[in-house]
Amino acid sequence: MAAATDDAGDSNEMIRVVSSDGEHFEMPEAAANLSLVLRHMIEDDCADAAGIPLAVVAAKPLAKIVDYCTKHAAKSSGLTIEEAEELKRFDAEFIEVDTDMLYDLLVAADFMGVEGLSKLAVQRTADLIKGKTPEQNRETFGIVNDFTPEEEEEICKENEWAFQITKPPSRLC
Amino acid sequence: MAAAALHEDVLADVLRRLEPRPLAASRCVCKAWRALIDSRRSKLCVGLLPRSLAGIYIGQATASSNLPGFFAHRTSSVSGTLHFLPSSTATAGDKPPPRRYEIQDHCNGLLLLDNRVVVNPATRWWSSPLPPRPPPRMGASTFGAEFLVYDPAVSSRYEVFSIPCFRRNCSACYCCPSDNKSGDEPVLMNELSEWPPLLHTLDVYSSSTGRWEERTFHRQGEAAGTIADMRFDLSGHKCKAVYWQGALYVHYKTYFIMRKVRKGCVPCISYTVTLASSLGS
Repeated sequence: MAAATDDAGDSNEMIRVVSSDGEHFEMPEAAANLSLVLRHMIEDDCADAAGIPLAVVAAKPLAKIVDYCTKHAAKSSGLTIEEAEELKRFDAEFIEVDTDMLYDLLVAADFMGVEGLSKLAVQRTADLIKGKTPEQNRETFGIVNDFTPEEEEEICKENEWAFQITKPPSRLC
Repeated sequence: MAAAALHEDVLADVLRRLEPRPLAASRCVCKAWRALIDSRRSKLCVGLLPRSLAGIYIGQATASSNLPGFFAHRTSSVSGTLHFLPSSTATAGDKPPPRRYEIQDHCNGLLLLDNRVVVNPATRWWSSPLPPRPPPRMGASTFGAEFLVYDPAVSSRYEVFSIPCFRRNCSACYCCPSDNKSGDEPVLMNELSEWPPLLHTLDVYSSSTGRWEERTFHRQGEAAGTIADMRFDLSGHKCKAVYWQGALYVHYKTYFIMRKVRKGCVPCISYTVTLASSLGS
């Protein structure tokens, strides 16, 4: 409350964050502002030299998120077409991660309220689901099939159209 | 990746981005996914349908064709000719003339033909003819128009709604019962009574029971007009209806839409009638 804000200096200030496993990261305030949670902390003057602790975000995903926010904050407004396309390419490469990292990013982006990254990770997850059989999806996402064989047969029958386009005649004249 | 542990909202956000086909396939992954998809059906499955368009029927059956024209890509896996249907006139050794069909109604890929058979051209399935419908409950000055209600994303069962239509009240019209037998026919309705009524009983055929059954709908909101209003009709007599996102919208020529809402999944338990905003014809 006592801190007098110096408008000119704000945007260059570095914000420190600490991962759940104790690693420190720095990013420009404009980048931190892309996270709803960090922005609120900064507004409430909770960003000090010790860094903002992020209890549920480990160092690996946090490094990625800092990277993402820094890149996007640097190109936040007045983008030329080339810059917008470059940012798109950056996103596409950025999200080419294994499923463990994707999961961490989904959780962390949701927790930190980084909207653009949330969208990116959610879309990437959806893209992974598409075009796969339920069995392949279980494998990809480490899910145990908890249906009984009877239940599975029934549910597959209910959604039969999702697996095949045509089926043989169900009866003959 | 422990996607099973994802927060429900995040997973719902992922599933929301899936097209109908992968979404339906995702119901089979595990119980948690199925429960999530089913509980958020209205948000996730808006218009959930296999959206691969196989073809479109256009126009009416003509002398040269036994069906309305089927407009489809050359490589379409669906044949619109319904050649697989058994010919009712088939006799041994005698090649029967092709049967002509009119499509009375259609819903999400199912056809209701004028011989009251329900056909799915994509799967080459057909039903036995619908059992005879009960006589119009409102008397001879009305007739029932049949409309299919079918959503393959919800269930493979279908229903046929018989919606009362009103014959035009004019002396010159060929369809008005001229021999009105006014003495014989009991007065079933007051021409000035509200339409649709507060409690509206309809005949509905359900493919799961194979029978016509009565179902009562409760009107919500004001009536659209009177029965006399419904007879004012300048083009056809038959109302039109379309089933969309769990509700059957019935369009009477007197400029209003009646919306019959299906609550929950098939088989449905309660229905309501809502008057939606008025529309020009």
